[in-house]
Amino acid sequence: MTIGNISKDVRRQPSQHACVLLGYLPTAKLECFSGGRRSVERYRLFHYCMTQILQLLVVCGKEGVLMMCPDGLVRCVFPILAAYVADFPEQCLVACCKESRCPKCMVTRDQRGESTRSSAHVQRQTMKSLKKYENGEISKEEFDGNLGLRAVYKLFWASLPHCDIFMCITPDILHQLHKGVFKDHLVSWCSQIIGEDALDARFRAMTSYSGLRHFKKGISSRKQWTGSDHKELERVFLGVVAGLLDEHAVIAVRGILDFTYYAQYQSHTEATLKKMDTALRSFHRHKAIFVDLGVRNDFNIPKIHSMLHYTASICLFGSTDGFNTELPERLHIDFAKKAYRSSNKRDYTHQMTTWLHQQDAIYLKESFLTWYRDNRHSDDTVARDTDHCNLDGLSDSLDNSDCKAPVIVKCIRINIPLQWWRNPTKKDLSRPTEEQPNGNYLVLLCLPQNEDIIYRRVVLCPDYPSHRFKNSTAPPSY
Amino acid sequence: MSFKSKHTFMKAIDSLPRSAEWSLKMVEVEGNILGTDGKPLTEEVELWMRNPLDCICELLANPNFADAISYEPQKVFDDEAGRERRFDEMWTGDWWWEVQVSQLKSKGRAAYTCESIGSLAAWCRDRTSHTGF
Repeated sequence: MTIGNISKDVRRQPSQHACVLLGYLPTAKLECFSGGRRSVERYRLFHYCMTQILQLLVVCGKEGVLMMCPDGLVRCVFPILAAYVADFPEQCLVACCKESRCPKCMVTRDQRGESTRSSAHVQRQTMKSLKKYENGEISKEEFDGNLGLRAVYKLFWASLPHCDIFMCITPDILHQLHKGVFKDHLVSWCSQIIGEDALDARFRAMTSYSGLRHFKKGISSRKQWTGSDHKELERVFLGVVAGLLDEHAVIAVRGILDFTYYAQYQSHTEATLKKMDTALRSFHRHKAIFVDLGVRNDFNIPKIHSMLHYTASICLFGSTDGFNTELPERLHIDFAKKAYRSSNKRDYTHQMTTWLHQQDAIYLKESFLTWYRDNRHSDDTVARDTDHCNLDGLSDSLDNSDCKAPVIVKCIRINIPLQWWRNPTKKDLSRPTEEQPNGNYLVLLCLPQNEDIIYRRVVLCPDYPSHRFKNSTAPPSY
Repeated sequence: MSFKSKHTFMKAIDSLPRSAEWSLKMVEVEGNILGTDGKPLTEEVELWMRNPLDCICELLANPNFADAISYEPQKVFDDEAGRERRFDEMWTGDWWWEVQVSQLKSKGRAAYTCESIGSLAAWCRDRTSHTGF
């Protein structure tokens, strides 16, 4: 899990520890169910477990909870589920739909290859349909055929505030574009038309150029493809097929490649989004050639359909590199593989959590030491801050703690990492009673290392949404 | 720094401040196949989880992120006139604006409490197997 407040550049670096492991979901065989029931029961178990994990967010998303922020202010935070990054089977699991359907919209099975947009799933409507099916008001044919839902009645997202799960499902460039549309479909269609040997011969015939990968054995013999292999192939593929394919097919290939490249932009404007749509339209206009050449009968492929949702998603949540599945795949190594290997492989989950705790503890200590080294010269700011505080007990407690834990006293001005912090409760906020007329509060900090209590003035500050314009220094007031 | 044994080293690590605690919940699943005693078979599975609020707190309080964090939605424009919208970070998108500006404000809460949303952006969950690594 991570939070969207952190910039995506930081979020995607595994070394920054901006993603936290939230839980290990059970992988049960469910042998107590008969074969046909097992898959739907697995869906139900997943939703039950997610409900257990997320139940605290229901209240906090409505009421808000006070939290310390890195700028030293306490804010009232409303945690809301905004995006769910997953691959396609998992998206269907979350959206509770059949895998022959789209987890985001109501498109029917045989329309998925078209470029027409269907109306989006509506959370309330879906829940109503499920309820009706549970009470037996909808026939099984209608439920399976027209709605394409799974019979899961207790959904983890049903009670989450401000959350529309169908909107939360984000594009997945790695699986949908690089691996799915490009490699699994487009490349295999082209190699069927051209023939594997002819295509390999073209790859071999290419001259090597610095920065471009030379596929000297061709591509047909390669079994394992990684994300970066796909990207390297995309760079040369249009040049390889040009001249070998029909003119329309080349335009279709170019449409897909253009779309893939636009989709990876780290920053979009309305103009680039329009170009993305144009590229997709040019693929759809020319795709019929693959049917004419006999390599495809239809285009009812979920990955090709999913491209329709990219631009809307970017407008809602920002560019796609913030939701790349490459990061969770990378973290899977740290959180699951490395942790498992360090256990003795028996009752391993407990050992894995202990191992993760120890790794976290070392990271926290290390980052605290780095941070302390960088900030220890700011003694004058500490003094200025304590001047502001007019609570009588403050100077005493500062003096006392100074001899015991000078480190902590010095860092109090700027920030204290969470572990030196007890999060303020509402009770804490009311206890010092000295509410300032301008909305300042005094908050009690408890330092568990030496149990000293230090008072500190914090400001509950409002953040206003803003419009930001390029080249203008002062943002216009909101 | 030196330690006499692995044990003392581990103890030193364990005494460091800890990240969010794990908890274990046993989930009992009752099946539809009857066992030999005529009762439905059951299966117990383990669910290991952390408190999501502690996790958010941990992320939000980390001073390393001080320069990379934003608390409010923004509409970013490429030109002075505000015609060309730009979308990159999550807070420049429409969703955040919609939730923080329209929904929370319209409910008429006290001004200072509703201004900041910690939004969970991405969920990575344990996958049982994956090829490629």
